Amino acid sequence: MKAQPPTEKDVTPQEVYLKRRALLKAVGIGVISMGLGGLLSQVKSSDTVGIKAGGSDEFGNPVNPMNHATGFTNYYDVSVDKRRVQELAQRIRTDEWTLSVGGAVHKPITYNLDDIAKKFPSRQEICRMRCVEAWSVVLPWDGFPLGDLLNASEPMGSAKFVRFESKLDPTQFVGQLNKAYPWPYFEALRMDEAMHPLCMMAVGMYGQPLPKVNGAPIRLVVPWKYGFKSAKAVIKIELTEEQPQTFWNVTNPAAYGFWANVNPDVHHPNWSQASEYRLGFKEKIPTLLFNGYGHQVAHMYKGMDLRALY
Amino acid sequence: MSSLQNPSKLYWTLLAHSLCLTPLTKLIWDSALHRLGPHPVHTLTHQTGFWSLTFLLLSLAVSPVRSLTGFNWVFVWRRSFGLYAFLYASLHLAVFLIFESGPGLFQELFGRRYTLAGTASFLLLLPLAVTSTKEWKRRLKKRWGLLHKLVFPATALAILHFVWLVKWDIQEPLKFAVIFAALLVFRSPWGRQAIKRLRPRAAKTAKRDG
Repeated sequence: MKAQPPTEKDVTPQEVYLKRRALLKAVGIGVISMGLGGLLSQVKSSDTVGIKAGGSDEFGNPVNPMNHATGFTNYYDVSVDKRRVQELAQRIRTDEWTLSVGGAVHKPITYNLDDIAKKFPSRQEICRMRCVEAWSVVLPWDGFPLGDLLNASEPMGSAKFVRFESKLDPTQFVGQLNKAYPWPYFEALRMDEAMHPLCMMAVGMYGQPLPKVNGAPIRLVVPWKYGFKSAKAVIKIELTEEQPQTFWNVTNPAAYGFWANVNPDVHHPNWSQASEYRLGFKEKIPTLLFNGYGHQVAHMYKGMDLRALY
Repeated sequence: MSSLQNPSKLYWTLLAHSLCLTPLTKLIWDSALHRLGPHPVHTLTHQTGFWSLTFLLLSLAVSPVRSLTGFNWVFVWRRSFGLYAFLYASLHLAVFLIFESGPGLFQELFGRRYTLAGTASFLLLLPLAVTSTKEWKRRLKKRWGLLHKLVFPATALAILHFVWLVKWDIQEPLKFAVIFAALLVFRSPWGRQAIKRLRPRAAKTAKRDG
């Protein structure tokens, strides 16, 4: 049982930290977007002594530096190669984005990003994100509860599930040229999961608009499930009566189930899920059931065999 | 020894060995400067594994290259490449043992198919590294060549180990598998015929030496 004591390099002197933040704001994520690109992203992603966001989760785990989130990302819509995702993601255009909420609702609505910003004020939530590949990261998201978005469309009583679809455009999301996968990306939650206050739509992180590599302009965040449930670049939300299919379950059903709750006792066929690496650390830490959010979410799975329904 | 008598050859040899050690040097350098990226253990594991497989394939490419080109001097590199493959494989295993150590270590080493394949591959390479000296080659006589055929299952297992550890996308391990398959085709009777037709003289020379 190894905890994660903050190491020497986690402590950034206040003035350095403030200077870095100021610098970051001045330079802006825009510079990276405009694609000084490759080289800059290389330097950033290979430097673990990054910009500190400050803060910690409810267990006291420090928030990871932002370059961990941008430099080590699974985003198969862009590339299967984590080292290339940041560079290739810069082709994504987030202007003129729309997000529609439809299906089994009384009021189908299509939003643009301004509508969303006005109607659903964001607040910061620090969450753990556990990847199915046995690594994790602590992130400060800016977002709002998914339930608020769904309620605005007045779900019908018959709605049992919520389906999410990501944008399909292989000219921007070049990973979608890879025909081994059933694009566009699609995910789903049961209604009660979707309405849970921990479940949110994120529009930013680290106090900035969501970086392209992390699912700009708007994405789902489900902190107690493996990262692949948290669909990026969402354009369509549909309420359904039947359980929808999900991207990874269709691709490899033996390894990836519909539920995908973080569970240290249910292993991936190829590797153990009992422990994980927190990005920036060299020691493994035990993985927690429901990623440590059990006291808030376990009641939704009472009576369910989590081994069978993985 | 001949390289000592021939300074130009010595320089080339030193340069080539420096190149072979560059990935290791870079890892040590990045490690010291905390530049291994957000997931340092992943970087160490992936890099050492990648270079181990690369050197295995390089060592397997030596004989076909000699047959094709008739350059006999490439032959001394077969042993070096093999030993570099073993060096990086040892580091790969060491990283795993150091960072994964814990109560579940035995289970992790032998209980999962990807680690089982990796461990088996390493255990096959071990006797090859030990018997790589001239002394052992002389002692084992004909059995030496037979023993060193183990490099083929060891490489196959190493590639399988890679295939079994990826999430789903086997693009990267597939590249190694394709090169390995091509090298096997070179060694097949059909491949030998083709080489003979391509370079009749070189093939004859190679056959006489081998």
